[in-house]
Amino acid sequence: MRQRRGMVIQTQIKYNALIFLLSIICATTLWAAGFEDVEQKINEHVLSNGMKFIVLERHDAPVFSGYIYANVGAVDENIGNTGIAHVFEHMAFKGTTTVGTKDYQAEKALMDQMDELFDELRTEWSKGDRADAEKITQLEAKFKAIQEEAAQYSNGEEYTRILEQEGAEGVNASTSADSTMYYYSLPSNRIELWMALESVRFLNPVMREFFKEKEVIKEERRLRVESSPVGRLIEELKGLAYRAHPYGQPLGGHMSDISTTTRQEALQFFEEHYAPSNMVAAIVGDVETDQVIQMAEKYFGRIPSRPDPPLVETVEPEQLGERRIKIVEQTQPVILMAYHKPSVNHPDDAVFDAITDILAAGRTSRLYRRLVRDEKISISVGAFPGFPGNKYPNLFVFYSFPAQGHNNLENEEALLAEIEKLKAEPVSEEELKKVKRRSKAGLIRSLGSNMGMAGQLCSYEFLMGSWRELFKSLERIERVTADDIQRVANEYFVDSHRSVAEIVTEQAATEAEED
Amino acid sequence: MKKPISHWILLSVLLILAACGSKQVEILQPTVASAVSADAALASQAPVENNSEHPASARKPHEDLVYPPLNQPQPPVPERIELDNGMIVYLLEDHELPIIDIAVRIRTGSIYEPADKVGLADMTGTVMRTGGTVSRTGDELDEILESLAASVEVGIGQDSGSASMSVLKEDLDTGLSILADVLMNPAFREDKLELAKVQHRSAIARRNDDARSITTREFRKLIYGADSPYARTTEYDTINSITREDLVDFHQKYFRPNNIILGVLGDFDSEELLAKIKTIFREWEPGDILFPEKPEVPETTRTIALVIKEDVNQTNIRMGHKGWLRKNEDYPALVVMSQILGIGFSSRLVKSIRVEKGLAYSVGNNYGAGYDVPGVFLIACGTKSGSTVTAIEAIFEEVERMRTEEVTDEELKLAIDGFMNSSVFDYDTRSEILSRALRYEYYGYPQDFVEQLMAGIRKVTKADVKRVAERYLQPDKFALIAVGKPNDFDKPLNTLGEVTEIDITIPQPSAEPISEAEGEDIARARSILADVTEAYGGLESLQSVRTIVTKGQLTVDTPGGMMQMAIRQSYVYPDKLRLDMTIQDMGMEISQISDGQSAWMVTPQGVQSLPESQADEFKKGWFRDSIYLLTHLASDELSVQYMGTEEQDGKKLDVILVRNSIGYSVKLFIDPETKSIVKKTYRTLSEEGPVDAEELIDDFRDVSGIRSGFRTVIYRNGKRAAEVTLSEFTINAEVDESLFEK
Repeated sequence: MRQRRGMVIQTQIKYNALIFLLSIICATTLWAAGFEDVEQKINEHVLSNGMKFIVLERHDAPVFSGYIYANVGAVDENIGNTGIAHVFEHMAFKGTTTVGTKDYQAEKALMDQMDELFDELRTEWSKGDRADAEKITQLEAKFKAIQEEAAQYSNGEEYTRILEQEGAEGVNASTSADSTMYYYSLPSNRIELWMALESVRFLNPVMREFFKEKEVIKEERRLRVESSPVGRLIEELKGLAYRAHPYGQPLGGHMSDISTTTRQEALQFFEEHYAPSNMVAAIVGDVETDQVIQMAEKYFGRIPSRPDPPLVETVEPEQLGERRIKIVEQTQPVILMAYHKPSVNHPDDAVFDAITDILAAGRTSRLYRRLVRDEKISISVGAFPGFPGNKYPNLFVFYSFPAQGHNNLENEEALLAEIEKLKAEPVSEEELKKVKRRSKAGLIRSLGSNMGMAGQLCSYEFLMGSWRELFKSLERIERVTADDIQRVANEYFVDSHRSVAEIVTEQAATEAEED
Repeated sequence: MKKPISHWILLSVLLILAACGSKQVEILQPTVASAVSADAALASQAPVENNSEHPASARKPHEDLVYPPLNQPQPPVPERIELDNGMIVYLLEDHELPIIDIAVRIRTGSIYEPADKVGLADMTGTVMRTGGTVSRTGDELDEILESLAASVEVGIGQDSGSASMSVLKEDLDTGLSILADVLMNPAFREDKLELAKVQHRSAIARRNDDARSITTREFRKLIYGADSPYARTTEYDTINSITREDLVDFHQKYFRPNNIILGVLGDFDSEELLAKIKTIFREWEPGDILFPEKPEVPETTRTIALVIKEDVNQTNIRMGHKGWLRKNEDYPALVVMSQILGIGFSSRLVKSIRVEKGLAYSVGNNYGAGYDVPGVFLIACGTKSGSTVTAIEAIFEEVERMRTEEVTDEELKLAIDGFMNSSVFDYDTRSEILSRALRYEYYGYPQDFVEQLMAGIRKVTKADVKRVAERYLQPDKFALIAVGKPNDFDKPLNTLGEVTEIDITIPQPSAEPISEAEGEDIARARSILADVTEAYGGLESLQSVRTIVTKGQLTVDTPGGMMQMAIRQSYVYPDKLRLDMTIQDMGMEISQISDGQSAWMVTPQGVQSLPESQADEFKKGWFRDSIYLLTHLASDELSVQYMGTEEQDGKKLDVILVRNSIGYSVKLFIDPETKSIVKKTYRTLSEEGPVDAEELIDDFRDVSGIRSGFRTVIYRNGKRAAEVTLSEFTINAEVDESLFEK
């Protein structure tokens, strides 16, 4: 490979042989001992309240990333109260009994009054068309007056202001179907600040400015879902594929649920789901493990232990036939196609990862080659497992954005043809080797980022039962065979377990009706 | 997050799936670079007390913390080497992981592409990689790289080109040879150029789908002018006009070693690596490149623009004006001012618009600076339709307050402390250190610019902040754009001043561009068409046709399978057409009518007007009608050109291009023996945008001395779309005028 200059003509056969040779050589030399070294450098410690800390020392630069993963997400929300996990995540930045207030006692009295008024309002709203409009106006005026008064005592941005002033980077949090995550990086001498501030938000959360923050949350929903055609489509797909399991509920909740959610509900949700045993923290960076554990005991040890939260018991019944939805939009077509698959802990999970890689990773992937490169009917095509979450049985999703002048049907046919091929013929040895090598390389690359590592260690801890599973993921991929892939494709990519959601362009929809 | 397997072509879908709950102010850029860590240890002693149940009197959890000094090693400095051929190389070793990454900057950009070939720079970058090199196709490169879990990519942006390589250590030679090959010897194979064009055209078709990208694009046009190289967009015509030669020339012009900065990071030995780099690029000849002056950034003029987007319930707002340079002496003060106004959670805009008023999830501004031309200072916000004007007014209030009042001591301290304390993150990864070195080299900034900036920020005073706010923030010059649904706005947008509505309709491609028709080709075309006219019944008979009524079957290939319908077509020359269709299975009747001006549809649900674009399609349909064409050849409206022959089913067909003065065009394919028009090709509008259509005509019969094809099969983009088979064909039957009344 080194002396290629001037060698203009290269036959296909020589070239293929070369690749084959390379891949054999490389697969054997790839950083053989590296992962064990890293794994040995990771320590864990469980507090008496059940919260686990994972620590990885990396002294390259005087910084660290702190990550808290709460094993609670949209999947744990009840009907009528969707969005509450996300609401709590927002409220976790609003401070505590000492941070974010000018006079907590005065503030608290007003917040209690607001809660009562809001309950009255909510009762009246729930009467729908029979509601007393005048009463609502009066209540709203009263509510607003108290809200303004409470604003004098609160200082809702103080929590993040402290972090910003102390040099925190990437302060953020996010909510997924399975989990809620809180994370940022700090200069390494501020590890105690992280401990102090992160622990209090789970010790004394105060949901100040609750009703204003709900307006912010509603704007977030408008941004991500209601004003985005693809956002709307994704929500439809979930609702289509799930009849019973809460994975079918919108991430972030229904608008009306956000509107009616109360502070008490958010606190109850917190009490029920934020048990220390249901949270894990990872610290990766320029820290001393012993010191981290000591501080964790001191700060997070204060959080009282609570019973483990309930798990979702509803099991999605078997889908009996294909389901399909078309939403008519002013925008260009999009197609999503989903099949039911088991949870991340099922033995077939690694097989789905291999399938994802073969179908959808890079320019040599089967879907790219067929739909984008050769047939030119798509500008972006892909497939991925783990939608909407990973913890419970979930969906394997195919998607395509048709190229200009092409439609969903052509793309659907091509996707189905590739699925059929996967069922009918074993994948090649070269394809499998590529998957394995790429997953190793991917893991190596991910080790370079403090925050990336912290996040992965946490999510493996809860999703797979231990952070060590991160390193075992390579073994699992290593064991996948061509037979496994064929078997899994035949078992799960079944017509009757398919849900298809499409964006149909407005004009096209009119014409279809004409026909 | 779940698995290490990278899904690197998952586009927008996954982003939306993965996220929800991000508190980030999305448009904001990360904190500005900073240098020395001012390790401001807070005073006081005693560690934090245990949780108190009497919070009002309790100390805040951070107040009593004492931070130990930051263990800050000397950040590594990349080594700079200039090669004999002018290439500048930066090397930075990093032995933590067995990975080697290369980042390349090439002085070029889309600002240097011609106005009628917008998209050329981007396409050159893309096809350099996908089109392969002289010795290896792009597909072969894909195969090699992906089997090594490696990557080599090239891209050309507005004012800079970039290339990258990432390999596991043991694959360095392979990766480096591919990178060098791609930079020096790209082959620009046609198939990948076509693929790039498909991607570009599709992006054009989709560019109005997302409100946020409309806002970004149209705001740039307001700031720079729609035709400015900084704001202009690709169009079907600019993409269609790009040829392989253009790509070859563009590459040839800018990809020269003396125009390149190459940085390497990772697990290597500098001496060895440098030797490899020298060897691999040694035959690359330097060249003189003439760079035109960069286009001017005009002074912004006050504008309030509206784009109507009916399918959203949140308005996207952007406002601002021409910004400043990073080398401006006031830049440190501008950074602090911008920070206090609208960057980060504690900024004024977030506090006022988001926290206190609950009007937005995302609001904030940027630092407004550019490296070699002034940047754009902008404020962005998304708010529900019903609070659009309220939010805009609240933003203006904060801008005004910034200009008229001094910031508080607390605000100033917060901003400066934040920069000083987070400055360690300027050095926390070696890739950040290296890419900064490349960036400063590229724009001619001193390598210690970030340290200078930090030193400057540290000295900024409240008076400085007010002075720069007053001087540089000029809300009366703001260009403002709102993309949303004005019917639902709280107040009309013109409460703020005169509103300009922007039409974002996507311009359709012009007729197929052809070279100046040679006199010979015109004459040849006319002579063939004269024969065709004779064969179709002669000019006189054709001109006597006033109406045609046909009956037959229409079979449409729909997503649900073939659909059959009975069809009756009534043509009243020169411009009226009525199609009556009966769907047999459903007994449903549908009609489409065009009276020459407008078009409408009659369904069991009632009458429905067809949009102008579809009415236009009727006009184009008339233009393509054989009788219309043959009877208008003598007029000035039509121009014809002989295009050579094309083989079909073993027969050589004569190809003639016909165009009219307003850009309609059609290619006719004529059987030289029978003189029948057996095929027509043209571009037409379909539900998915413009498509290439093809009509195959056969079963020719003479009716009252006029020739007509009784069967037509229609293809769209090469796929069979419909078939029409006629059973009756009546010329000059009486057609009731009322059929064309709405």
